[in-house]
Amino acid sequence: MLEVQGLERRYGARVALAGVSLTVQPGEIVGLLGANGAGKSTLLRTVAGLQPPDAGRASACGHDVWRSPESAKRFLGYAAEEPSFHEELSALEYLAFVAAVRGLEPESAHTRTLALAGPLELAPRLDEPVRGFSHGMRKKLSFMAAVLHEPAVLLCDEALEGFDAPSALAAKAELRRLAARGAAVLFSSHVTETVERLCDRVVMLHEGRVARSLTRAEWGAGDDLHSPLERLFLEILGPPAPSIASRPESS
Amino acid sequence: MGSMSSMSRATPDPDRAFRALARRLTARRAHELGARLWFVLGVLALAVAAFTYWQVRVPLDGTLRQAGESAAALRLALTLGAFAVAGAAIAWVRRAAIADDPPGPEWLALPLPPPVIARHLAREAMAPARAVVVPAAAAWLAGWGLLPPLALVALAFGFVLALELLLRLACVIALHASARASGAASALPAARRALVSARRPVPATRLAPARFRTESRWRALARLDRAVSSRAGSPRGRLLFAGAFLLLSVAAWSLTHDLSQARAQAFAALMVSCAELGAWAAWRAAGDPATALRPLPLSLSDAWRARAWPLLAVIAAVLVLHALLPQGVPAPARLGLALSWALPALLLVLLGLHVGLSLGGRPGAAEGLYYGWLGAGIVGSLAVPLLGWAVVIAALVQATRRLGRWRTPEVV
Repeated sequence: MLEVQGLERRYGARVALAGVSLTVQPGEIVGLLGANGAGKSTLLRTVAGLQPPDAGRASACGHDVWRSPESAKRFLGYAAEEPSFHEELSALEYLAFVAAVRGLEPESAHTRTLALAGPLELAPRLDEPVRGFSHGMRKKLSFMAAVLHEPAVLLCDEALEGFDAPSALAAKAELRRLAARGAAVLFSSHVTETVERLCDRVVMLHEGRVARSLTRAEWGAGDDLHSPLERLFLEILGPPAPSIASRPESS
Repeated sequence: MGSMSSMSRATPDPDRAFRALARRLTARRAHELGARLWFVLGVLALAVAAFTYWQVRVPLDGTLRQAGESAAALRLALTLGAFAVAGAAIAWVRRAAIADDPPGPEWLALPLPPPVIARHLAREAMAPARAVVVPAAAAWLAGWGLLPPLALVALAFGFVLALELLLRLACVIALHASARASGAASALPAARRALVSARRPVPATRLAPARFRTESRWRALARLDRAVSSRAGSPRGRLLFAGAFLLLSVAAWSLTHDLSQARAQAFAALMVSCAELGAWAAWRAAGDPATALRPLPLSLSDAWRARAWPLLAVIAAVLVLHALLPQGVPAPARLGLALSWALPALLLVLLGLHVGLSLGGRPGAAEGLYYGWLGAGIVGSLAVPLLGWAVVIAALVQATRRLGRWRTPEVV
């Protein structure tokens, strides 16, 4: 289970997180929606142990991420929005390292790597240096590293952005499978349709705060123009700004 | 889409735009250094200037007394020339690095003539090379009171002219050397060819399949370091350099029959090697990609042991050789020699490692700080014997106190 309580984070004078609290239960996929700069990535990076909070706490399966990071990170998986790797290594070398650090049994780790790489269409490139990978391939590798150990808590920061359609389907199937096995998944995305189809619950962030938390039953139906979550999202953000095309021409 | 016709347009002036960009970049970089680092840099510049002043002043005075004014002026001119050449070398290296990965946007996507872009990138490469002005100015000041003012003014003009010419020449040569391209691109002018060939895609070469194995976390990290360092690039270059000097250090005992000379050579080579091993440790410890490593259950102890144990094992092995190899020296003396060398070797290596661990995600800054401390140590030792080691010990204490920062990284 993932628990976040009163998480605060500032970048100088700018408030990125203003006391965010949320819980993701085992077996639940929770979508994290918000406009650019709403604090989604900051929240996920803080929970993943990449940057410390100014206040508040985050725990994975009862282990505080910042007080006992090693214990907490044994249960965590994190697929980064902008993944970075040792460019000189092959994908397989990197995954072998991740498997070793996570204490996975070598045979099963290798088998699972191949099982993940196949549907994600990364199998033919596993022996190539990461340096030559495209953005989408890097995202797939980051996703594979995050789910390799079948984490109890999975954090996905725009994880499927850049995936081709078959790989995105395979990744969503893997997320559902992990959730069915009891994983708590926090899934951040800009694509409301993906969140609608994948998630059991949605948390909407606005200016560093939790603006709404809705279950699938609560978000209801959409209209002709908007999907249900798009409509709710626009309600929170307020009336949309005039589009570029409709702006009056400057004199 | 909004209409473009409503936007007023003027004739583009790329040179003006680049001048404004250069001004903003300079201001931003100066601001980002922060007051504390500016102070440290100022102190280092003063130390280097004072050191250069006395290193030039005393021999110049001797030359003036023994060979006259012309010989002294020639000596100072050669010294200033050497600084100009050093500046050109820095500019050459920087320009080559920038040609491989030009900082900034996709330059070729902008409606700019490539020579204008090349001039901007050359200015970027020349900026750090102008740091040689600090010791050069100190050397020039050393001539005051010894040489006639007119000669000094001529030397100053000559130095500035030579420096600017050599910097530009170095950038042009580096650009032409780096502008590799094949096919249709090879017919392009160098400035455009360099931009076309920069950030080129890597050929999809296959590597040996990785082996999945059971091991402790620090060993897995050490294995990762080995894999990363065995591939082409900066870490491999550092290890090869360090290895060559380790071999030189051991070979020194058989190169000469003069024991004191052999000992001095062996010690000097060992220290150079350890300094480079320290730089490797700083680079590796600070260079782990945060989004890949930070979410993993690794501790500071794992990160420390993964780098420290292999380095300490290498140093121990080399010191054992030093305790065994010298002929005609009693065994206790050989053992004492090896043990007395262990402390400075450990100091250098651990300083690099601790600086790297305390500056996670910033390998360039870690390397710069490490070399800065070593430079301060060398200057200190040349000014007052053994003062440099006090500087290195102080640096190690400071870096060790900052190790806790490893646990609270800042990845924005």
